[in-house]
Amino acid sequence: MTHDDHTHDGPADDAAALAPLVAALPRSLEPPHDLWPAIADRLGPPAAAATTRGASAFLARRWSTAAALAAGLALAALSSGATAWLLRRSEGAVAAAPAGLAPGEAAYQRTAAELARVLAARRGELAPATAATLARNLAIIDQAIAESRAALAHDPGNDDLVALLYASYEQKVALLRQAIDLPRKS
Amino acid sequence: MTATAPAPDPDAPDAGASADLVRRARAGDHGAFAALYRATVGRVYALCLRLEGDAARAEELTQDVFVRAWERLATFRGDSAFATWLHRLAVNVVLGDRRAAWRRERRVRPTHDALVLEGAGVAPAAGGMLDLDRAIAALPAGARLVFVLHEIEGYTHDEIAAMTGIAEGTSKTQLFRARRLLREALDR
Repeated sequence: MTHDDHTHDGPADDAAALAPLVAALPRSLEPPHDLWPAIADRLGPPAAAATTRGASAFLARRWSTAAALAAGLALAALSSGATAWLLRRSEGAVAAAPAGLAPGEAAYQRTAAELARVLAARRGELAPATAATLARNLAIIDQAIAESRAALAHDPGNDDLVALLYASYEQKVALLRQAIDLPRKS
Repeated sequence: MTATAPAPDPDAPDAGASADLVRRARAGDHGAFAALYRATVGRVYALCLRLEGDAARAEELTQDVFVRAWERLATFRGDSAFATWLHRLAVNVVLGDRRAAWRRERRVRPTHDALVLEGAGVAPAAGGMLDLDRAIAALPAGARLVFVLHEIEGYTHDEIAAMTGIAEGTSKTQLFRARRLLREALDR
């Protein structure tokens, strides 16, 4: 507990008088009713985790749009053999998310990885300065993603952090998409 | 923001057992999640009750916390204890509920500081509450929020400011006010 304020006698007296009472408060109180049956009724399948309500559901819809755009552009850039491969990968994308990731996040990661593979195949077509700038920008976005994930690990219910995380993924997908569309030696 | 760890709960399962229950719950095992619920519901309910000051609302929020925890289990990476993660989740659920209430309230009358809803205070909850708990329940909402987070849950003023959107100075003012009101109530 912190006591970092008030040096006047009155407030200090208030704090001192209350401190032992606060210390004696039980930290755990049983609810008067068993809440588990009502909770159990509301539990969906585990696959619904992390993309079910509020901002998460909204962001999941945004992910679908971004992923569709990204996948479309990636498909346009691929050879027919690679297209078949990507289709197989995309079909597998409905599988459960890896442990520790929200399902939407895993989908973003897969799309970014697929776009990065397409881009890697074109690496020689980009001017060195363009490639270097692209690499630096991607590193910045990856750092932002890592920081948002770390913050979410400590503050799991924070929808603002979820929004930041997904915004960073959208930036990454958009940047990769744009890079794939760049003309040769630009 | 640094998440402040709640005090250890002597009834909580040990770390190994808790990790196993979390792993099973993430795989969809309702029984494992029920065991986690049994081990932690007292802490969550106490937090909700003290922040809300109303037993019925605290029960609803406690349910919301566990449903949200189930939905968010995939994001629990085990960097902290499950109880710590759940505690922070519970604070966010209650604060989210407060924000929604504040938005509804703002449609009716303007306020200058988020989450500082100065109602007349709720009626003390009945049944088994200590005098101090009853007095906390009767505090105005803004003062009660800061008192519970600072004095009972151990959050600092800057953490409270970041979590709630109020100014750090407002948090200190609300704490001062809460202490004074509590002393007056207990001295009656």
